[in-house]
Amino acid sequence: MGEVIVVTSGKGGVGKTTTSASLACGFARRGKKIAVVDFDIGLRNLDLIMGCERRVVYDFVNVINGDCSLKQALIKDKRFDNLSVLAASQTKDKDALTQDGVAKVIDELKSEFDIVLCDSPAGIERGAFFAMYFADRAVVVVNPEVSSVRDSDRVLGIMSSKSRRAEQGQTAVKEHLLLTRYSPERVERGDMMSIGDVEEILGVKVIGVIPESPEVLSASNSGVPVILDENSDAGQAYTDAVARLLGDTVPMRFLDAKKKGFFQRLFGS
Amino acid sequence: MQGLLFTPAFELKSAQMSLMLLAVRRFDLDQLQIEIAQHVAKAPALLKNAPVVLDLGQADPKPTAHQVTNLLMRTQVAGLRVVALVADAIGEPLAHAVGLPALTVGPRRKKSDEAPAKPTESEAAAPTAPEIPATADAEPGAEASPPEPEDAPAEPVAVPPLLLPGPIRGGQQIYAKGRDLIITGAVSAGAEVAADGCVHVYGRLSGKALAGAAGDVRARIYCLSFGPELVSIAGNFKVFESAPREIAGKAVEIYLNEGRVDVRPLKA
Repeated sequence: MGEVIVVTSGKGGVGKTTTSASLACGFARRGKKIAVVDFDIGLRNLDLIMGCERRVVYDFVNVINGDCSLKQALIKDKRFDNLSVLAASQTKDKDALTQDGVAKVIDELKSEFDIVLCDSPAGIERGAFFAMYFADRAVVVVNPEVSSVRDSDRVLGIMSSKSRRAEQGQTAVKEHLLLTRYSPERVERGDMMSIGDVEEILGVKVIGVIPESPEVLSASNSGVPVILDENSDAGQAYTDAVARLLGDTVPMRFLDAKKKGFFQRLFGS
Repeated sequence: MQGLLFTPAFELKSAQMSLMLLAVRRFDLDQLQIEIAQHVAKAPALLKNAPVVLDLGQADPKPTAHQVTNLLMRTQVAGLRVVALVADAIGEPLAHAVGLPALTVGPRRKKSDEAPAKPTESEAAAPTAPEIPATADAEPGAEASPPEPEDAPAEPVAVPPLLLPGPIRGGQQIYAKGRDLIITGAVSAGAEVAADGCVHVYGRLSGKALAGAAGDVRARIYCLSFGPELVSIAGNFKVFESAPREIAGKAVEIYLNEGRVDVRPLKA
């Protein structure tokens, strides 16, 4: 049976979909058979970031409604044979999700794949709830700022009390923090919360720190998840995070502010 | 001249006291004296010469003023001091007749005090079963099996606290009804923890904490790291926009001091 991992955050715009796309490619590159599911019904984005938006014929809601089989709706990634995408519906809204329908799809995916990665929408409503309800593990994406941290706290609370694991009295959903848009320079200046601050407030360990990096935006726009950009700091940081999620011990990188060179100090930058 | 130097010889302050009710069921003077004496003998440190308020609302048969005077004397002999009568239809005229004040008991207080205030028929009292806390997001510790009542002893047994592992996260509400609440972890901003007894937080307190939720002014709040949004004791609350520097992040005790919520650091 496969493992269900939810990528969630509470707050919008912190990098859930970017993270889902990169983790999915990272797991696939490590040889895992993986399906990534977009739960943001009505605002589908994951297919864009994954670069498969032109090939979406059937979506998640079609499968739930029985318009097509799961196999028909899964889009095979062009780069990795062992990676499939289940897109969200662009036309329906989140009420199209039903607990039984989602449960059936998730269970079918679990029997087929090693990892089922659920890309949660922002908020704590229906879509976000179903994305986390079936999870075995959670990657909570946090920006180092107060509102993102507070929303993550709320999501962690809901997960620990309302997930299927909590309801059935199983061991709790395993929680990980992924800090995104981290800027060591701003942390050093004291304008940004540090890893320690975030870990202390949330009481959960950080599994990866993704530095703020211009490559993230260009990667998203071109439909190539940033993890595939070996030259970017963010891509390498995601590769490390995938390794840690798979149980490897990898030291944290990109945590120190870059030292300015002699000329940069002379002329400013 | 005298006006300048005048300082009043007294101050009239408002204060809240916690008193026990002596709720009489069967008005049998001899039996009452014996049972009260037995009860006081069981916990002399707590009860010897304790002030109590006499509640005759349920007394059967209804006593006369003369009988009440007699009861006051016998109660004193047995080890309790009646300082007032409950001001209900029966108590009010009797209080007048025996020269004691009549006190109005709030409906909530009266209910919550009924348990400890039944010295006249304690033997039969079985420990009340612990209740499952009512919470908004059935919190993580809810499955923790409620402590089993031990084989019904005659001695009153302490009600076990509601013990939860932290963290209690934003949006979660915990209420320990009729007992203390112990959280072995943090209480996040936006979370609410409340108890009828004391609240202990072995971690950082960033949310709201309410002790003595049913009105017990003796209830207190303890936390390892102070930084709450609000603390309340018996309905007296204090909001903190930011914690004062002397106590921020410190281990503190929060208590009611003459009707006002006070915070003091715990000595290391």
